[in-house]
Amino acid sequence: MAAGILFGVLFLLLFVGVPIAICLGIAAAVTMVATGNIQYLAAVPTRMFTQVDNSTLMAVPFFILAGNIMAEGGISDRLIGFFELLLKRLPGRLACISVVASGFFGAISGSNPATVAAIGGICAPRMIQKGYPPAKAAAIAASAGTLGVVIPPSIPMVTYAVTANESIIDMFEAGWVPGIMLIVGLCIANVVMCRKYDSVDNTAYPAREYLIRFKDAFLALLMPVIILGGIYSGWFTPTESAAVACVYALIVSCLVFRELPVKKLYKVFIDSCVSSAVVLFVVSMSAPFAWFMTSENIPAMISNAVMSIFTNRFLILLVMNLLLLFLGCFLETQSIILLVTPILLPMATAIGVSPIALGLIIIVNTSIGMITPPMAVNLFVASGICKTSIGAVSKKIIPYLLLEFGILLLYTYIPILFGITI
Amino acid sequence: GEGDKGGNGGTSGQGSNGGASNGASNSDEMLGSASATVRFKVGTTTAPDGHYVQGLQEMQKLLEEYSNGEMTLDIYPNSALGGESDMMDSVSMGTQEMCLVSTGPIPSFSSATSNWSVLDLPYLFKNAEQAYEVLDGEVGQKLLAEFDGTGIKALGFWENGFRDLTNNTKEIATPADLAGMKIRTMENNVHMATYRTLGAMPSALPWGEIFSALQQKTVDGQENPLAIILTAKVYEVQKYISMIDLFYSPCVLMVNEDIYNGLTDEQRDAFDRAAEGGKEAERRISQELASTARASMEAEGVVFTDVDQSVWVEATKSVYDDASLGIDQDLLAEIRKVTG
Amino acid sequence: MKRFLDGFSKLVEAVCVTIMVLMVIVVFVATIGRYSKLYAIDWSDEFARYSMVAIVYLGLMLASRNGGHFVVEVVPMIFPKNVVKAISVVVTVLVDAFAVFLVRYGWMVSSRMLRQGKLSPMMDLPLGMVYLLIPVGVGLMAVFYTIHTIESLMAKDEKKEGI
Ligand code: NA
Ligand code: NA
Repeated sequence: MAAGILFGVLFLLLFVGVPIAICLGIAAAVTMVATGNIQYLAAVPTRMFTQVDNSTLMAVPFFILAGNIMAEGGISDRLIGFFELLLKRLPGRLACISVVASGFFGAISGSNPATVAAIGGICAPRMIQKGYPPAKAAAIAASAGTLGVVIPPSIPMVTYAVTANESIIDMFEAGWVPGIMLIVGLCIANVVMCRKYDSVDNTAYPAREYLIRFKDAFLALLMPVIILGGIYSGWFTPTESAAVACVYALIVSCLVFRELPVKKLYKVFIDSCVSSAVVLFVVSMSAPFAWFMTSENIPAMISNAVMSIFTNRFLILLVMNLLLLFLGCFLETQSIILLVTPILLPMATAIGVSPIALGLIIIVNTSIGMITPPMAVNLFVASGICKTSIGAVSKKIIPYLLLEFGILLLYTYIPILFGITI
Repeated sequence: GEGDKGGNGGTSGQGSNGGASNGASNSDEMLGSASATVRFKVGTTTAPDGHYVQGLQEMQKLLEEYSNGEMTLDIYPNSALGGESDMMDSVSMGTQEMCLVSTGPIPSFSSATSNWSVLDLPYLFKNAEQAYEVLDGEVGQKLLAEFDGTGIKALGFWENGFRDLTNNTKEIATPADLAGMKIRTMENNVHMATYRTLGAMPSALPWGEIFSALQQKTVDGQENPLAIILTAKVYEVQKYISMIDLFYSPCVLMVNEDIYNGLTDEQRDAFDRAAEGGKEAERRISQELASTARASMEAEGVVFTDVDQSVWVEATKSVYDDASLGIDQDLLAEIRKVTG
Repeated sequence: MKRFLDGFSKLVEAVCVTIMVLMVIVVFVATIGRYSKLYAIDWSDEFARYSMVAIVYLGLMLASRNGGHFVVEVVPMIFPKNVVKAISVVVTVLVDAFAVFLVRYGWMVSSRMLRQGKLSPMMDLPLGMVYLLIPVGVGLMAVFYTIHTIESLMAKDEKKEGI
């Protein structure tokens, strides 16, 4: 009953075009009242607050700001321009650079939206400049951002490991398999789909040209060195690295390249505030919605109902994936892992899927969930960066979504078909 | 127990299972009997098999028994309903009926409860028995009564445990070994001041970043009760544990005041007795877990260091004189009367 | 009226930018301090978190002014212009209704916290003041959302809305 009202109201409001964040809020509030739980209403503002009163989310506004400074201040052009030159024979190279860079960033950061903000913030403006449609650029950045939690370290993996009583280190090590599958798959897809935007460049550049471009890009190249190296060597946390990135980008853009006059800089800050606000507002509003679902045990009820129908193990795995994908459309990672793991774990063990493999199936699913509308943080961050509509990005994300789901099914079934245990 | 935020550590917002049991618990074990008509939603930050939850399950059983199946608890582990500070707000506003939270967020909850910070002092209790004596006695009753009128009825002191220190570089036996090390602590003024007094650099990193921070040496170590170090799997990235028992960390069972006052005398009697039984069970489970945790982690190759605690007691004495921490001296004196 | 709104937006912009600059500086300086072991800023994380809350809830107003919220745009694709306009009025009413609800409950929560004297753990800020950002931010957002709807209803040439 509660689930019916909740989703009914949500879909109706989404359909008529109420801002997504407010749809989530109204759906939660209306369902609270309709199910006779008026005392819950105070949870709406409190959940909204605690959701954004969160240190790990801080990387999002910071990297959005760093990306904007780098784009406007000439760092991104030099940085990416250099890699473009190196990869000039690779069609779709800008998109591939985004994927591989997201993989590298994913190897230090445990969060998806931070990955989109950090890498998309640098690569997407350059893609748009090169003629990629903004929605396409956003889809590329958003899909590459799913590597953030699949490649270890990963906050959701920690959550799963402690919920399922598995080793965190084992989860991290196993994460490389689907992570690399996703990197390879996304790169191939991008070479195929993006060859028309940056095709093979057969110009033979003299060695001097490389040297000049390298010299030109040197300070820009230090940026990833500082961010990645700084975290690897323990100088700072991923969140702190975002603040360091902002300061470094400011110094280089304003004082060295001199491409960011104060007036332009002020505009960069305002844009970053507004982009952060619209993204984090949705994140904030998803909290009362998720809290109500948790409090009424809705995900557990749906999971139990759906999973109890099937007995064939291939079907069980397929349905498990579809169920997770469905929940991923509405809930964020943490809630899904906490609520669904206790139900899926005994089932998975019964059909011979190891808890670690199940964990990765859940992690990859929830990561894909961040590109499935309506609750799709990666898409929000990416469309904020690319200044394009969520509808347009949603269309462009479809091939990536199908690809990632295909890779997920490969990852789910190959071990079973070949009798490999993960 | 941990401070205030959802995943802040301490009682491990991320939660975890106790080492013994295999796999996550089924949600059926968390929800009370379906036929019960008076249901209390109780939230906590530990995992399904953590000591908090096991104690609550005992209370659930007793409550159903004492009320002849009329009343029960629905347990929400793993911070599913929010972090500790959030849950206290929820209980006081009636959006959830009950919570079991550590004392970390209590001093800032309300001006009426600000003197709870006395419980954050280092080496306040020599052992658990002493802590029980104080907390179950007059001082404890006085502290619990300070919640009256805030929307929360505080029912009694359960247990998180003594907090010990982990790191990945060396065996720490004396405060001198700790000098200059970056230690992740709770977001708590008294705790941070204590670590500074010991010569360390306290830092309140978010729990979500703890694992990569410990692996990449952004911080050198962290501190938590053994039960949490085991069940939240912190030991996987830490080689050394020093048994400094620096802080005793209790936790408190809370229920919405209006709901509690609205119970019939009979119901309240059953509820109080079940809560008391849950408390006794939880303390026992906590003690058991603390003693088995060491063996389980030693089996995994973690090196334990037994320290001369008197050196540490001496080194942290000046924290008691730090006026900026706003410790209630009268209350401290009353506690000292019991602890000597 | 328009001049007042523009001026007010400029003011909010300046506040947001100031908070963001402070947030970057505080976290950067604290990071350097922890790395160098020279000094520690215990309150940096809390300060940055509350700054982020402020940026989000004040930034919403600016987003409303340019129609910058995330929406699912099915209606403009399948309905004629007049219906689209009518629906945009309904949507605005829904946004305003939600804002009224949130201002009421947000105020209830904030004033409750102010009364009980709830403080932030590190900086001892009255937490009710920080919570106030939610009703204030969402209230302003709704006002500017409504103005934006009225403006686009009156505008002759229809611009495409939403990011
Ligand atoms: Na990662
Ligand atoms: Na989604």
